[in-house]
Amino acid sequence: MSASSNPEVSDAIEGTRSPIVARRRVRRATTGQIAVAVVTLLVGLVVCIPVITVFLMSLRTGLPGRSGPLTIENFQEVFLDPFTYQVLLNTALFALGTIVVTLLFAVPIVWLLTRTDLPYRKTIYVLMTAGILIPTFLRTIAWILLLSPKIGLINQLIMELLGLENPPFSLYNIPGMAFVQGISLVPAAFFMLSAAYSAMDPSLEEAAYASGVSKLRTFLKINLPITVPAIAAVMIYLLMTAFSVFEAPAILGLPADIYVLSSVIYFAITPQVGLPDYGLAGAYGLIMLVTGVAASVLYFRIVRESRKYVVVTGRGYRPKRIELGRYRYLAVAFILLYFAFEIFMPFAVLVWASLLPYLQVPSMAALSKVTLAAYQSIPEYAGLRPFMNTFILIGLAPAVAIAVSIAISWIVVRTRYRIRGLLDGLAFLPHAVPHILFAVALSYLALVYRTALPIYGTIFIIVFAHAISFISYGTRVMNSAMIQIDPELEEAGRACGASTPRVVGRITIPLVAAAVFNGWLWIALLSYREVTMALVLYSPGSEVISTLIWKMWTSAYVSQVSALGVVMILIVLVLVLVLRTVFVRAQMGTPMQG
Amino acid sequence: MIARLAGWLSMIALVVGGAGMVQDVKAAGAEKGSLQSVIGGAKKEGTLNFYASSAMGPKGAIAIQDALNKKYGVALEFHYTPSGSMTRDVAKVATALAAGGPPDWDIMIVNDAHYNTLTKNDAVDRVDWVGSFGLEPKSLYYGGLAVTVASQFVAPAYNKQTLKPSDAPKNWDGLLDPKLKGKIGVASSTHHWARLAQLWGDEKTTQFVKALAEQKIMKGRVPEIYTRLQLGEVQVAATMVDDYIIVARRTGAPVVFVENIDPVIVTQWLGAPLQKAKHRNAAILLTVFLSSDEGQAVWEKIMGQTSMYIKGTSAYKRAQKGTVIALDAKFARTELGKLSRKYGKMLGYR
Repeated sequence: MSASSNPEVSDAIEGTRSPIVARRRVRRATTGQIAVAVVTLLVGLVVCIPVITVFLMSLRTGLPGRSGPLTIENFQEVFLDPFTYQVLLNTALFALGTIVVTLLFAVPIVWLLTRTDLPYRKTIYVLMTAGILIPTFLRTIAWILLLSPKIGLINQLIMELLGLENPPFSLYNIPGMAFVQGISLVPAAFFMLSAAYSAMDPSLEEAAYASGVSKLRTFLKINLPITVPAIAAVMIYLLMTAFSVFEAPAILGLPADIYVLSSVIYFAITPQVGLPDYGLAGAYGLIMLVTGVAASVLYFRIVRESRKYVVVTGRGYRPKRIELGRYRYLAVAFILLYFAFEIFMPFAVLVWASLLPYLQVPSMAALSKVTLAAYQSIPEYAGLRPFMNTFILIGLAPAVAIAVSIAISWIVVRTRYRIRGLLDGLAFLPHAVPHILFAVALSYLALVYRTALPIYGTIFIIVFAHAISFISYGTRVMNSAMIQIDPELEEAGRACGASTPRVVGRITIPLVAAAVFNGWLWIALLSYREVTMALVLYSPGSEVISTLIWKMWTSAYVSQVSALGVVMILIVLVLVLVLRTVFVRAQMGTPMQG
Repeated sequence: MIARLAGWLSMIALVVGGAGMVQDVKAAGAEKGSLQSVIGGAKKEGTLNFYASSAMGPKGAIAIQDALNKKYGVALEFHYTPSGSMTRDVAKVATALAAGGPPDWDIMIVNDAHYNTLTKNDAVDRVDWVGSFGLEPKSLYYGGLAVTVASQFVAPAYNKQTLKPSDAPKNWDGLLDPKLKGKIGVASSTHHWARLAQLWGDEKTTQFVKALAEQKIMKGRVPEIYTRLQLGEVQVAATMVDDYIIVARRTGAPVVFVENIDPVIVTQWLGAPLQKAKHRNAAILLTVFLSSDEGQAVWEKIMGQTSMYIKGTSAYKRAQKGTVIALDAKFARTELGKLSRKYGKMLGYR
């Protein structure tokens, strides 16, 4: 319950009023309005200008910047072709399947890690960050090695054991694609949900247990409903991600003639001959944009009812972990199964590929060819520059994205300005535009306005693009966390005379520190892995590791790509472990721990 | 209402895109400078931003830099960018020039189809390669704008571990053998079929591609088809560029070309300075160097390829063995894109 809705608290605040206090409040309100206007304007500019550029691309033929009349030719080509509707159906089924697979693993894992006494939590947390570092195309190749109808090891084993004539599994269908993609998105959902779950008031669960309700029923009837905004945020984020991901649909869908939106956009942008058809891609992209805006409106309706989901109040909040008892080992087994899918098997394939001169199905003959040559050749192929650029990128992009996300989420969740819905929509918009088109638009704008903003050709244009793009992720995380913090805590701070920035800095941010840390970390990892925008925006001297890995892959240097992947995973695992330890120590003594 | 909306959109278009209206960039006049003046200019420029296949690697780029510096007594520093997506990077150059900016690179070494796009978009600076530098006229493409640096052969390839050489296709029609049904990978490089149509004509190629599509082919991008071929998930790749065969040879992967296929498709790596290049002389010097014997030798050592237009090279010898389909500029301008899309659709690429 908030101060405004609580008569006692309201009266207490009323009692402190005086003409000076009233004037101060008026001044604060005006300053607040100006601040909100400035944030909205800035976010609007950096988001809307590239999005409008993308929209204009869809209304033109040829490259951005080429003058020519506006035309609906691209939309006619898209919407008058019956193939588009097959693509949309495939995309919807693929996205739905992906969301189901992701949530099936992510929600129980988050609950187990944040609400129970599950053992090895620290290790599990660190391992959750490792999966994202495995390049998607190698992860998918790993699945082909396991489940291909022709060469899949699991298929061959089962056929041999059961004497089957045909392989029992195939990945070359929509469920196969959704499974591979869904598994890879579990960490993203985990990081988005964990803050909300860790902030949950245990008294609700304790009340259920005291009434004799089972743990499972408590989870389904209390934990799940109270985190509806967080789960809705994740679902919408996953929906748009599933619309835009390309690797799994390309590697598993193409052989079976299954096209999704991202594949038709890819082929429009990467024709075999001639220039990319950005106009056609833009027209397809607009379908994503409209879906994203609709999803964003839906999400905002849920957030508007946020007070229903408040769980951290000013009254003796103290998270407590639930004892799993004899179910501990079952829970560990479930998480191990997930890690086997997400990390152990793909990582084993990565190590295997890195130790061979060329990729082969595991066998004794292949084992005799094991070599460390790919590791030794890393400096030769990589040099130092991509590492330095990546370091700058993953340091700056998440910092900017999270700082802006905190400001946006605070306005969206805490204020009643009418513009907050628009601001939330603006923050989500970059995620609803195909990344490649967003990057093309940014690249073009940076070229045109290079004198005013000289970032073209530097690493900072990639930082800028990632920061804007990942605000959508940052705001989903921060919205979910802030919704659960009772406004009375901030109102109490204000009643004591603290300014809004001070209240946010001293009360709100410490209470959502776990979300800030998780968001920052995950955006850093997303930024590390992101290749689509980086490939469009890089220039000589601004290459990053992800573009390097991509280029090596396209040159058939699978061993070198794998070796680089293994080295980077080990480095990042150590970094995450250190950061996590520092964060947990810093949080000791405060009630919130992610 | 619609008219008003269109008016608003046009205004926004002007604000967002106005500053980048197309510049009518005309090719510069023919270069009259001699090799000595180019060397002098390159010495002053000091660096070269050059773009080439990622197969070259930084080590390969340094080897070329050192060989060039030694030959001409200069101290150029190469800033090499390995290719990511040539289509997108060519578009990036065209966009940069259209927006009035300089391109990211002084020279791009990309294939003949991409040079078609570059020249169509006035992105290539004209140099008198024959008059000033004595280059072989046959090695010039697109009205003398671009120079062949190396030739890349394209043919069917197979995994010799999973398919006996005696069972492998012997010619293009061998790909249609019912025994290979479900065992063939066809990469998204559909322009290979369009190149074949330059010799065969559209009708014959259409029949061939139609029959190939009925072979229950596995589709994917080139690196994926190569990986599937290595792993044995497909036994034959309908077309494979020799870059991958060279990598296979170096790593010991069991992927080999169908030998002496006739006709053989050849795509050319072309080079030339780009319009508004910051280091134009250095770009010219690299192009000239790569056409020399020393340049060919170092390129062959790094990339495994040479130019079929330079007598005595391995590509020259290969080209003498049978019919070679090298891209005709007029065909590239009028047919290549159209036929690539047509055959792509027939194979299931959109």
